[in-house]
Amino acid sequence: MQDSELRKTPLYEEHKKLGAKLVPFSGYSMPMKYEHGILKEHQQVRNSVGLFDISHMGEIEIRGDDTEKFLQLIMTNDLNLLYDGKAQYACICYQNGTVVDDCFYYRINKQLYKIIVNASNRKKDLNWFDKHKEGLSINILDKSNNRGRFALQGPNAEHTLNPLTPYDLSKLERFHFIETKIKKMSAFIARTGYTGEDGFEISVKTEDAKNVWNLILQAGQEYSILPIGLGARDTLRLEASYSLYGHELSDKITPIEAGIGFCVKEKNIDYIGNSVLLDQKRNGTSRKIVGVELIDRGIIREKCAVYNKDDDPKEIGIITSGTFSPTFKKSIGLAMLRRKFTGIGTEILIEIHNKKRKGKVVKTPFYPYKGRKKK
Amino acid sequence: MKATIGDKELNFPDNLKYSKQHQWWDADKKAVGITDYAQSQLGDIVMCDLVDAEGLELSAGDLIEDIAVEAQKAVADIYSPVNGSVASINQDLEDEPEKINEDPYGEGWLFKFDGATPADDLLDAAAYVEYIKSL
Repeated sequence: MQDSELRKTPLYEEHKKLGAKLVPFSGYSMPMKYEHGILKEHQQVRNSVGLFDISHMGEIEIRGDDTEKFLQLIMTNDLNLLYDGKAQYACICYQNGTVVDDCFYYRINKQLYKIIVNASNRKKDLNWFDKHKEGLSINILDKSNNRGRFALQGPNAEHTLNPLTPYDLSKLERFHFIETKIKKMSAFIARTGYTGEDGFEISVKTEDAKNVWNLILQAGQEYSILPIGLGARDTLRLEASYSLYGHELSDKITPIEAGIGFCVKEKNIDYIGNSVLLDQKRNGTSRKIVGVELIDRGIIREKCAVYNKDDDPKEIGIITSGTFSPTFKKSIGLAMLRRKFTGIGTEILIEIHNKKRKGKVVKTPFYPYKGRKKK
Repeated sequence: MKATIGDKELNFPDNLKYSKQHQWWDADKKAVGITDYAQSQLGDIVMCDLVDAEGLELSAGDLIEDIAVEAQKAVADIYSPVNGSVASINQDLEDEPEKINEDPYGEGWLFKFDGATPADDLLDAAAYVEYIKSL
């Protein structure tokens, strides 16, 4: 794709002013990193606070009397656990249990939900929704291009944002959201994130995006706030062991295999994929995604082959994501391995640059969530 | 010489020669490394494993395999700018790979050679700057 065909988020000009290295991502020109680089940005989020532009993500509203009926049919998680102001993570699955997309949805009320989906899957999701809305009284509204979205993440996220809102954010629990204002501009603020830290995800009108972005950067100055690019977003999420579509989740992988069975529920109705998924949840799967770390030197990267022993030429799995962990100063990754090799401590060989290097299976998350605990 | 590439001011010492693969060659010290431009493009270098290059006989233009100079999001391919054999590697980079970012022409050197002859097509600083500006 030519750069000229890439879409720009409402913050494109701000990124340029901030010295961002812009790269094509899901059809958008997005900041990979800013002037301080990925390591500094990563540490800033772990130690204080950072601000991410996530305007590229899809934002879809479902309205109407059958909204919950519709979502119960296509989502793996159970909407009966929700109430107004509460958010939930789920997968959208095919009949065979593999994944169309993973998403967060927010119950504004029983007839109105907001869903945040992966940028790269937005069109596929909308087609999937259309295919399954037949006979249901719902409206599907794609709001993706009418909003600016940010993530404000880190232990000082609340201190940064609270002075800008009339609502006292210290009262907002994890996985809850509030429709309030940032200064005079209406804002949707959820206490969610993708980093392993406390923080918020914020959605505002496109015309307010630049203003809100700069207000937050200004408010965060006393905490040395930095804008954070996709590079650190990936190292942060990988340390926190969150799945990323296209890596740990795909149309070849089920959520049970991906190790996120917590979002697959037995519900009082049949939903798409439920027979395969519930069977897998009860009886296990022949392969599973686990955390791995490298003992030898090197950096684990996506698609590296994994072996059991030097003299056994048969692959036991593949790396789905890998990086150098800025927090632990070693290479970590996630790997899809045959069940037999998934026990914590199992020694494995990871092929990097044509050489098999020693590694082992470790517990995930590498970096346990450090923010506020759920009520 | 200094040159502004993109929005960064980068340094290209006039006493060095440069390859289009972004390696520099210091004929006095018989040393090779990556240029300021290369390190700025790569970003934070987090791993540098050169051990397997020791003793290698290289021809100018060879991709030096089995070594790793890796940034958080990118792997650097290192090509030899000279003909010769690798006499020593910079072992300090194993613990402090960030020296390549901080001081690419000094403490961030990669290899030293024995009796090497440079490739015919190495560029001087001004020609290299012109080349990277054209990229």
